[in-house]
Amino acid sequence: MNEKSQNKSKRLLRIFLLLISSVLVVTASASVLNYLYMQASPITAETAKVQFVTAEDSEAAGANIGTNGTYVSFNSMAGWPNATRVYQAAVGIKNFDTASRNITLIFDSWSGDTDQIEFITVIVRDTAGGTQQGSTINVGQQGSSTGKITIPAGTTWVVEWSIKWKAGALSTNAVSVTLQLLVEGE
Amino acid sequence: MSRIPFPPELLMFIGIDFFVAMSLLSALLEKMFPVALPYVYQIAALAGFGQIWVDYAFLFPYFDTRFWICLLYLSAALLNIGALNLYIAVAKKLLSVAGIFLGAFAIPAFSISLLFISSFVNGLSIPMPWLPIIPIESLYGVLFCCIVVLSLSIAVYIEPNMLKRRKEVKR
Repeated sequence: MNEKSQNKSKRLLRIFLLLISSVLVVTASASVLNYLYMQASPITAETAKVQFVTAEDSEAAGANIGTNGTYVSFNSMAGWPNATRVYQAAVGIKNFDTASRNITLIFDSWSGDTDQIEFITVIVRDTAGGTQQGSTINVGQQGSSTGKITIPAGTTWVVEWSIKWKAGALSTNAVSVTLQLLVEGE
Repeated sequence: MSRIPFPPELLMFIGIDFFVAMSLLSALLEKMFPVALPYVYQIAALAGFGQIWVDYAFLFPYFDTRFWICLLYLSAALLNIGALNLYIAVAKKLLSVAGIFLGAFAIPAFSISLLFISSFVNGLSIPMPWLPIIPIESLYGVLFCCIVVLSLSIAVYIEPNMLKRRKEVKR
C-alpha cells in the first residue's frame, strides 16, 4: 500500500470515527431531552374521591381501613368446611365526589392452601343483601372482576364475601387474597 | 410562567447539532481548517450533552438558570458558525466557498435558532431584551435568500472568472 492510499484510509477512518462519535452524542442528548419532556413536576397528593368505609360486618371481618381510606385489610375472616359463610357487608365503598365515578373491583392474586378452597366469591351490592352491582368476582380466576360499574355521587355500596372450604379442610389451612379497586378519573 | 412550548434544553440540543455538523464539515474539508478543529467541536458537543444531563439531574427546578445556560450554549455554537464563515472568507480568501457555507449552513442555522428562541421567549416571564415574534412564514424568505446566495456561490466556485468576463463583454 503506498503512502497516498494510506493517508486516504486514515482520513476515512478519522471521519468514520467522528461520525460514530457524533451519532452517539446526538442520540444520547436526544434521549435525555426526551426524559425532560416526560418529567412531571410538581405531582401533588390529594384526597381520594372514592374510599373504603366501614359497613355492618366490618368488625366481624376484622376490617382495618388504612389512613385516607385507600386500603383495607381483613384480619379475622374465616369460612367453614363444606358450608358457605357470607360476610354481607365486609366493607363499604363510598364515592365522596360530587359526580358519579366508574369503579372496577378486580381479583389480583391469592396464595396459601388454595387447593382446599371450594370457592370464594366477592360481590358488590348497593346495600347489605341488596341489588348486585356488576358481575361476581371468582377468587382464583385471573381477570375476574365486577366489570365497570358506576357509583353515584355520595353513595355507599357494600362488598359481600362468600367463603366455602372443601370438606377436608383443616383449621390450620389458610389463604390470602388480594383484590384491586380501580377508580376512573381520580 | 404561563406557557412552556418546549424545555429550554431543546435550544442546547440545536447547539449540539450545530457543533456536530461543524465538526464533520471541518473534518471533510480538513485542508481548509486546523487539524484539531473537528475534535474541539466534538468536545464542545459532548460538553453540551453533559450539560443537558446536569440540567435533568440537578437543575430541573431552576427553570431560569436552565434557560440562560442553554441560550449561552446555542449562542456559542452560532458564534462559532459565524467565525468559521469569516475564517473561510477572510483568512482563506475563499469567497465562493464562504458564500456556499453562508447559504447552506450559516443563514439557516441563525434563522432557525432565532425562530426557536423567539417562540420560547415570547409569552414567558423570562427577563430578556425585547425580541420580536418571528412568524414561521419568514422561513420562506430565508429559504429563498439561501437559494440565491448558494446558487451564486456555486456558480462563482465552478467558474471563478465568470463575473470578470461579463464585465469585459459589457465594455
